[in-house]
Amino acid sequence: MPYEKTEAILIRATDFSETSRVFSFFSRRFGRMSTLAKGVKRKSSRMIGQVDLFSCGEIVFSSGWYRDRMHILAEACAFETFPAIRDDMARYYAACHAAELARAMTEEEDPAPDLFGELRGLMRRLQAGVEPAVALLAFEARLLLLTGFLPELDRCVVCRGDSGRGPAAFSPGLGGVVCPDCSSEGGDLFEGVSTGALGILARLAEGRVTRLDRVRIAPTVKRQVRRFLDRYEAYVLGYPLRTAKHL
Amino acid sequence: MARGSESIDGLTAEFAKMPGIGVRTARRLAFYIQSIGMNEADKLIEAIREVKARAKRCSMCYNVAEQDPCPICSTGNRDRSTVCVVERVQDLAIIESSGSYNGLYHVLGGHIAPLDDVHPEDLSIDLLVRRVTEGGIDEVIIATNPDTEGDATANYLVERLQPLGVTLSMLARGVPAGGQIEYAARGTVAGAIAGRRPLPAKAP
Ligand SMILES: [Zn+2]
Ligand SMILES: [Zn+2]
Repeated sequence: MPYEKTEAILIRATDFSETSRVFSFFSRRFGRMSTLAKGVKRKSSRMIGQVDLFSCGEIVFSSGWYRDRMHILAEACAFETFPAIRDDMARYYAACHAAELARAMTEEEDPAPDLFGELRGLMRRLQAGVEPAVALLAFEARLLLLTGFLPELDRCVVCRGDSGRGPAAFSPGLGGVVCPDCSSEGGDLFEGVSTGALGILARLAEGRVTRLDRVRIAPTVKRQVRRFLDRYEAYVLGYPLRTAKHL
Repeated sequence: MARGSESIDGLTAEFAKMPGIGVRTARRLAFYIQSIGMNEADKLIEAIREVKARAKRCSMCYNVAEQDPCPICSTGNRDRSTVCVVERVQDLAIIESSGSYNGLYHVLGGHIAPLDDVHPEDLSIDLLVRRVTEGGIDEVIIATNPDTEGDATANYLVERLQPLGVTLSMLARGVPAGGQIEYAARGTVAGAIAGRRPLPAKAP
């Protein structure tokens, strides 16, 4: 059976049997994908210590399908680990949230090399000591952009700002802010979304902020962006994310 | 494929929820149950009822036992000043069978795993903090698994326990990184406990 090789980050691990586990990766070449790691729980397994949550490395897997939903993992070799993530709950929750989002917002085996790069970039920033909340917001903004879910953040999504009046509320249904004149068309609105918070999201989505360690966001604004993203992501997915609980 | 019976499908689904049981094995078990006599089936049902009615969580250490406090907590000849914190009852059993530890335990009931919807408040961490606060415990050995979730849980425990002025120590890494205590050889567990290292007090 032919084998494929790709760089990948482990984003979920679940027990499959007494000796085997299912590893879900976010990979550079194939996007998110599931593999069965046979015998990985045996002490003799060569993969022990190589595959751990959020570690990044090279995996080799059979290209055929097992039970129609996963591949068989043949080899895994971690070459980049992020030990600082486990030293701090804020970093740990940020990494978990990114992993859950990357899984939830993409299709199985839909190649997304840029998103892989963003996910690895987040892990590196968390390892390097960038403030977890800021690193995570930047990742989420990029993820929304790359998956096509970034809403219109700076001008009315209905009249494109022609009314001359600033944004008043956010309409998740229309996918953007609406001005007072158009707000009646927006359906259910998110009230109390500050333009400052949305502006920060727009800037982070551009991906041109290279020194995130120097970014300072006022705590109140940070909370507003966080709250907005939690609501918006839950709206897009149709359910709240598990990892949003302690962000 | 011919449609199976709905009741067999239902039982298969229940078995398939169990650890280590795949759908194929679950189906085999379901057909086995269908084949046995009513008397045998009643015995199985009764055994399950018995476990559910009698096996309870120990109110001191969260171990699973038929008495509360559990036999380990209620026996007189153990070192009550040392508590070894493990993720699951299986880990406790491994350390017990290694014969290398004579203190008490605390079973967390898992590890902090937000991706599986397991958060600090879902584990017996508050119970542990209360135990340490009440006094009489000099050392807490943190024996969570050496993987990302286990280490994150260990760090959270350190944050919660360090202010209480108790000595904290971590198992020596005889258990391979990314491995699990449950799969470690007996000798390895004994070595990890003997070689445990105290954590330096964090600067306030
Ligand atoms: Zn408008
Ligand atoms: Zn007990």
